[in-house]
This record gives sequence, structure tokens and C-alpha cells, in this order.
Amino acid sequence: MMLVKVEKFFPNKQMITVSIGDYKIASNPKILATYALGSCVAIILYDRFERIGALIHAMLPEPKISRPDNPMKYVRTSIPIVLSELIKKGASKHRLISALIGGANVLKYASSMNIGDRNVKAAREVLREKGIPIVAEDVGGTVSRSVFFDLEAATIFVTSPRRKVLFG
Amino acid sequence: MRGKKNLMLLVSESASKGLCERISNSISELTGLPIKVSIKSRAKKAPEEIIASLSRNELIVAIYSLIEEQKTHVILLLSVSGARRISEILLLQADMELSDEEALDALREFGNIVFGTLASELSRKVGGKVTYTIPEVVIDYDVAIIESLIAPLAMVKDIIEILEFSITSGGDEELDFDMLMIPGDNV
Repeated sequence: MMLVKVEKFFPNKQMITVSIGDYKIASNPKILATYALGSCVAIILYDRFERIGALIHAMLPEPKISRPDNPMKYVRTSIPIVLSELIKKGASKHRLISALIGGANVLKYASSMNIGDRNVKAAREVLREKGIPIVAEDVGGTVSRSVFFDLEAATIFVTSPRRKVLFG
Repeated sequence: MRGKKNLMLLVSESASKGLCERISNSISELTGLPIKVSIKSRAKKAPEEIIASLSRNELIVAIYSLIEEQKTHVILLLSVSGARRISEILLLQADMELSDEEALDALREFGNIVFGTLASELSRKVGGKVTYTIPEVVIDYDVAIIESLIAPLAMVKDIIEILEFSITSGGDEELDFDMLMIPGDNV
């Protein structure tokens, strides 16, 4: 699985969009996409052989309570659920690889709790516990990221906004 | 500790009129345009609902500051064209070529005027010191900016209180924008 940073992305096949606190599983040939990750993190899980993959858009590292209303909102509770769903749909746990994108600190004074860093740290921990290697990462920094995962090419395209857009 | 009061209480329905007037006057003086500031909504919602309701997946310009004593986030959300227009007005150089650096400085100054007025009005109500951080100007997607503000609160609260102001310039569409106040010690 390869990660490429591009200025713009032009989809050439069906695109499935994942919103905050949600996930989607898809098979080749499709594109899984999520937009404008700030402190949120996108976790991609992919079986290279079956060409089936998942994209999670998690907002926070862990829930305050053991049974949250929406476990997909949290890194720690979403990964195990999606992993189990992927296996049910034919993926093999031993072939799975992963990628992490996001976890930025877009606003300096609002980032005192380092949510972005904590999201990335939690994702790395859970994936290590599950024995899933992280083969690509684009995390941290101060700009948002949009993610487009082409399951056929096993390639993740990442875009970020240009900062000089007022007068160039 | 009077200074630690939740600012949402201080910006009650009745007290908000004076605050809106002061901010209107400051922006009008600065831009030479008739500006009207009003409270658009006052809501207590789940974090995801707030992010969804305020985000249109558009690239915007945000001018952000933290009111320190009350840990209240204040943020102006402008369209790129609106921010460009404000910086042109403030720099009085509409016919000249401006750089992004000059425009960002102008927007920071604009934030200073708005947040300064807000802090001074709130200080009168609190009866104590109200200080704010140097305004930070960020150009990014609205959803990423709102999510970055809301996520730290969502770590500790299930319901978040938010006050949304509408700032309109009467005819000039480009100068309509919003201001949000989000107390850090939320509901």
C-alpha cells in the first residue's frame, strides 16, 4: 500500500464517502474517501490478496465510558469492530496492513489537549496489539487532510488545502 | 470568583443587545460599512451535531482567540472572498496587489478589534479582567476547524453549549460571516 500526496484528486471509479464517527468497507474497484481531517484520524485496513479494505474516521482516542453510544467515534473501540467486520467479509487478519492519516493541530490554542497526537498514539497502540503492521503514515502538522483510498491500485491519495489562497 | 463565570450566562438574551451593538459599531467604524451583529442561535448539542450543523465542507478563513480567564473559544468564520474584501478595506489598497502575508496581518488586526471590543464589554459585565490570546488566522476547511475546536470538549462532555452570532453588512454579500463563542468549561 502506497501513500501519495497530491494537490488535487480526480476520482476515476465509484467513491464511497466516510463521515466523522463512521466507517465503510469496500471491495475493489472502488475508492474510500473522507474529507478534511483536522485532529481526527483516518485508519485504513487493507487485505492485499482479497483487495478488500476499510476506512474509519475516528474523532477521539477513547470513550469516557466502557459502552459508548457510537463506538465508531473512538479509535480504541472502532478498530476491533471494523477488524471483525472485515474478517466476516473475507479478509484474512494475517494479511491485513494498515495506514494512518490525520491527527493535525489546526488551531494552536485549541490544541492544548493534543487530541490529534493522542488519536495517532491510540491508533498505533491498538494496531500493534492486533498485530497489524502500519505501512504508511501521514500524521501531525497543522493542516487538514482529505483521504482517497483506491482499493484497486492499493494507493492512498492525500490532499491538503493550499494556505496561500487570499492573494496568492 | 466573578471572573470565572460562564460567559454564556453573561451573554444572556437581555444582556446580549449591548454586546452586539458594541461589536457592530467597532466593525462599522473600521470598515466604513453598516454592520449588524445579532445572536443567530444558542444551542446545546452533541459534538457531532455541532460539527455537522456548522460545516459545509468549504475552505474558509477563521480568526480565532481564547478568552483566557473564562477559557472561552471565540472564532470568526469568513468566506475566502469575505476575508479578502476585509483585508482590502483595512489596507485601503483595493487597486493594488496585496500579498497573503499583508492580508493575514490585516485579518489579525481585524480579530484584535472584534475580540478587544468583546473582551472590554465582557469585562464590564464581569467586573474584572478579561484578556484574550493574540488572534490566530487559519485558512482551512470549516469541518477541520470546527472539529479541532469541539474535539477537546467532546473528550469530557457529551453535550456542548455554543453561541452563534451573525454579522451582516447590509447589502454586501461578501461581508456576511459568523462568530462562535464556545465556553471551555462547558455545560
